[in-house]
Formats: sequence, C-alpha cells, structure tokens
Amino acid sequence: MRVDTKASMGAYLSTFASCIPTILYATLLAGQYTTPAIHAEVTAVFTNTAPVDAYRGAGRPEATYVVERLVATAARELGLSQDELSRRNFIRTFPYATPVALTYDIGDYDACLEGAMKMADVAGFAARKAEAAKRGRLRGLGYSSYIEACGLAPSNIAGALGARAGLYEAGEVRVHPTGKVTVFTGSHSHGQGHETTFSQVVADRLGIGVDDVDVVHGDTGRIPFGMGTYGSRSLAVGGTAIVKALDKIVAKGRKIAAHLMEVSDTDVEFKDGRFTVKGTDKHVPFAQVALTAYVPHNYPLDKLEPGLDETAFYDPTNFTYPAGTHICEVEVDPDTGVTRIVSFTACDDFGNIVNPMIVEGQVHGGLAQGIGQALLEGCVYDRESGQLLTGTYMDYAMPRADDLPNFKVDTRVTACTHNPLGVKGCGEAGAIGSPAAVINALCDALSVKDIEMPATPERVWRAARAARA
Amino acid sequence: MGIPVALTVNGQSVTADVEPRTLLVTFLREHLALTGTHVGCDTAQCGACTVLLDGRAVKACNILVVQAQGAKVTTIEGLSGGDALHPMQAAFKQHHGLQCGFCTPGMVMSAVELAGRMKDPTDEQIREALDGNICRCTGYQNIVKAVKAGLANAG
Repeated sequence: MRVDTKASMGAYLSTFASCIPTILYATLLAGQYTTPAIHAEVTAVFTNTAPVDAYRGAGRPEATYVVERLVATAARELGLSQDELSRRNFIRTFPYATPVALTYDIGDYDACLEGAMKMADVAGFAARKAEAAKRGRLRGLGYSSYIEACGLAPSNIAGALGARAGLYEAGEVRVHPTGKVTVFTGSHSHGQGHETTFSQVVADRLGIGVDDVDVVHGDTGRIPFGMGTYGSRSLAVGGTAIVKALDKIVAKGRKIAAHLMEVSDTDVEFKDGRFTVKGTDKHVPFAQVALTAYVPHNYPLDKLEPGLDETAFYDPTNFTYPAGTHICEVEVDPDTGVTRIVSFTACDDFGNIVNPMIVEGQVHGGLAQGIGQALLEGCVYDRESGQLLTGTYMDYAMPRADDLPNFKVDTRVTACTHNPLGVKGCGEAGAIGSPAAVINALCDALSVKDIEMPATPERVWRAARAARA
Repeated sequence: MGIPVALTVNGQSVTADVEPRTLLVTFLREHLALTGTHVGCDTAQCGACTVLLDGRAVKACNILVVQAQGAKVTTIEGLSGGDALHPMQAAFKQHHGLQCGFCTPGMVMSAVELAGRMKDPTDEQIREALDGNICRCTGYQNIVKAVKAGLANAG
C-alpha cells in the first residue's frame, strides 16, 4: 500500500498540528489488516485557512477513511462483498507488529464485524433496496472496520516518532479519616462523566460506596501536574494512574492493618473493603485503617509515616487499540440529492467497560460528529478573497436532531493487556469509523467510485445525474 | 438614558431601566444574574438561550427585553419549585440526556414547551421539534429518549 498525502496546516503551525497527519495517521494505515508493506509520504502544506489541530479522532478518521474506502473499492472491482474482503485479510494473531510502527496487543475483528452485520440486518438489505427502488429511491450499504491507537501515549514512542511531549497522567488518592476518599486527577471532564466513572473504579477497588468518592479535576491549583483529556485516554491512562495510587493506598493499609491485628503484613489481604488475616475471619474495616492513619496512637510510627494519601504518575507502555465495525444504510432521493441515513450500526471493542451508559453516550456523540463530517459539515473559504463563508450556524451545517436516526450500538470485549483495568477508550471511535461507512454507503447507492465530503445534496444530486447519464 | 421595562420572570415581578438595545438574554443573565440561560451562537441558530415567553419557546438572544414588556418569562431556574427537579430535568438526568450540559437549559425549555403541544409524540416528531437546538455531545439519541420519558412523566 503506497499512500501520498497532502495535509493542510492552515496559515500557522498549531501546537500538535503536524503530529495529526503523521504519527496519528500514517501509523494507522494497516487498519485491521495484514497488509505486508506500507509506505506513506505526508507533505504538510501551509494554506490560508485557520490553523488546524486535533479534532475528535485526529488523524485516525482520515487513516480509516483511506483504508476503508480502498477496501470497499477493491471489493467492488474484485466482485467480492466488502465484509468478505475484510475477513480474508483480518489480523488474527496477537501481538501483531504492523509495518507502520505500532504493535497491536489484542483484538477480535471478526466478532465486531459479525455483530454489526447481524444488528444491521445485512441479510435483509437486498429486499429493502428493491422496495426503495420501487419508490424511485437509491439504497446503499457501507462498511467501515476501523482501528484506532488510543490511550495516548507512551512518551518514548511518541518522542521517537517526533512528538516531543510528556504523555503520562497523574492521580492522587486522599483517604480521609472517615474512610471517604477524594481523588485528584489530571484528566479533566468536560462532559465525559469522569466523576462517575472514576468514582466507580475507586469504589470498586476500595469496597466503599460511589457516593463516598469525590473527584477533583480541572483545578490546576489543586491537582497534581497532569496532561488532560484527549485521545480517548482518560480511563486508560488517567484511570490507571488512579489505580496505581490505590495500589499504594492498599499496600500501606495492609501494613497498618497488620500492626492492628499483630500479624505480618504478608498475611494480610484486602478484599471487599476490609483487611483480613489470610485463612481467618479476623479483619479490620477500611475506615478503621484510615482513622488509625490519622490518629496514630496505636501505629508503627518507627516504620510508617502517618496519613493515607498517595500519588502516582503513569506513563503507558503501549497505545490501546479500540476497534470495531460500523455499518451505514442510506437512502438517496436522486431528484433532490437528499441523503437520509436510515440505519446506522456500530459494534465496538473498547476492552472492559466500567459504565455502559456513558460509553453508549460517547459512541452516539462520536457517530453524530462523523456523520456530520461525511454529509453536512465543512469550512468553506472564498477562493478569491480567502474570506470564511461558513462563519455561523446559518452556513455551517451542524447535525440537528432530525438529521440523524436512532443508532444501534453494541460492544464486544477483548481486554487490553497492558493496563490494570483492561480498558481501551471509547471517546473517538464513533467519529473515526463513521465517515468511511457513510461514504461507502453513498457510493454503493449511487454506483459511483467516489464522492467528496461533505456529501451535500448538491454534490449527491450531481453525482446521481452523472451516474444516470 | 434607559427605557423602563416591567415583566414577570419566574413568577416574580421585575422592573428596570434598560438601554433600548438590551437583549432579553442579556437582561436575564447580566441584570438578573439568571445565568442558567446560555448564549451559544448569538445568531438564533443553536437554541442554548431558549426560554418560555408567555408559554412559547423563544430564543432569548434574538429578542429585545422591551419586546417582553408585560410578558411572563420562564427560564430554566424557574422550572422547579425548590430542590426537586422538574420532571423533564429529572428525565434528562435519568437517561443521560446531557454530556457537557451547555445546550441542556435550552433543550429542556424546548422540551417543556413541546409537552404543552403534544402528548405522545413519535421519536421523529421529537427530533423535528428539537431541530432549533444544537447539541455537539450526545448525538441527540439520549435527548430524544429523555424527552419521551419527560413527557410521559409530566402527563
């Protein structure tokens, strides 16, 4: 596979601009496939637009678009179905070193493809297409089996690829004398629900109630130095930092409990919110250990500091690799060029899932963003003057509620092998997989090889006319 | 030199002298400190500033406060009495109908107005009714679910 890409940087280089079409793009060109050799050449170009930088998915939607549009086109020319061509080339042995610098730790691409095909009722598509044709409408089905590298990032790999940033995350767990906990995290929440998910992780590990956990984020005066929320990394990297801090809390707690119960700390285990002497029912609850740490009258002061407050920094050892299959079904009115998404299905593998409702919400939002990119959204500049023409929502078409269907989403699980939660990240997947699925569906409906994004009614109408001529 | 205005906001009589150009949303946010009503786009496109004006959902960034002379205005702050959430707010919470929350006050106000017009709308009708309110986070699916549940609760 030989890829030649020109990437617009805008008029000036923004912080991470040149990393997007390089380390977050060219490294993903293997997709889910065993392509033996890949060569990518990216030329970054200054243009007269606003400077560009990361946007949900950042580089990975573009890589997925290249790969999955290619697979769809190749399948059509070979007379195969797209799922068949994908299946013949899926990676099935892990770990798998791609020709483009990454090593996938685990995945099950067949499971997501099969799951998506079932939910999308691919078997019934031919009948739906025939029924639509009777009404003068064109139906199309499009697939996109995407992969993304998330959990950004091992600092050393990013550095070796030219992105010289520290990409760890920090977490502090402060246990109060009451046994309640405050968590300080460098991964801030701007609507992703970290307060809920992180509380669940902490409550689960310490055997306390979710309401006994407070999460503090976004206040740089209070939190340890962190990196923030991006690249679907908050749980995989920020959550792992919290887990590492919890491990230190439990390790210290075992020593305190061992002192209280007058046994060796190697004989103490922590389970379900209490420290127990192995093989006995002798135990002290977590809250008692916490109180002892702050009121150390009976405490091994010669060996341990008082207090129960630990910080951990975590720099991941590998990226995480969420993957899945999206299937889009469109119906086009060739007389008006209006495209309706009649069904959109996503079957994703995000590793272990802590809060299914939040994960679903993230997928919905990502899908809407990717569908918006495929059909509606585009920054338009006047060719002569360079003036931005899409300066308000009157001209820039954000998807509205009636532009979208109810999505069908489900998950399959292969747990990430290199973080303790087994999580991969879910924030960007919707936006990464969907543009290629939509355009593949549209090309199928119109029987054309390509159509430019955003596939506005005008472009679709022109393409439909050209195809009929 | 101001123009006197008198209106009812969330059940309370309000009088003030305002500059003639004062928008309703500016009056609510800056004069009355009711910052639950958001300004998203300033061009009547996004709906984050939606309030009820005599029971009708309007975009408060696109109307002068003097046009609300004598009217009854309800903002997101006026929906619930005390600490209990309005059934529509409770439904948004229950069904994860918000992520960052910026569009939520406008979404809820539009949904509350919808409750006065339709009892048992389909998903499509809800989506059409909300097409004046933009959300970048949720993909709308859980908002539709929340509005459906909120309408059922309110009924």
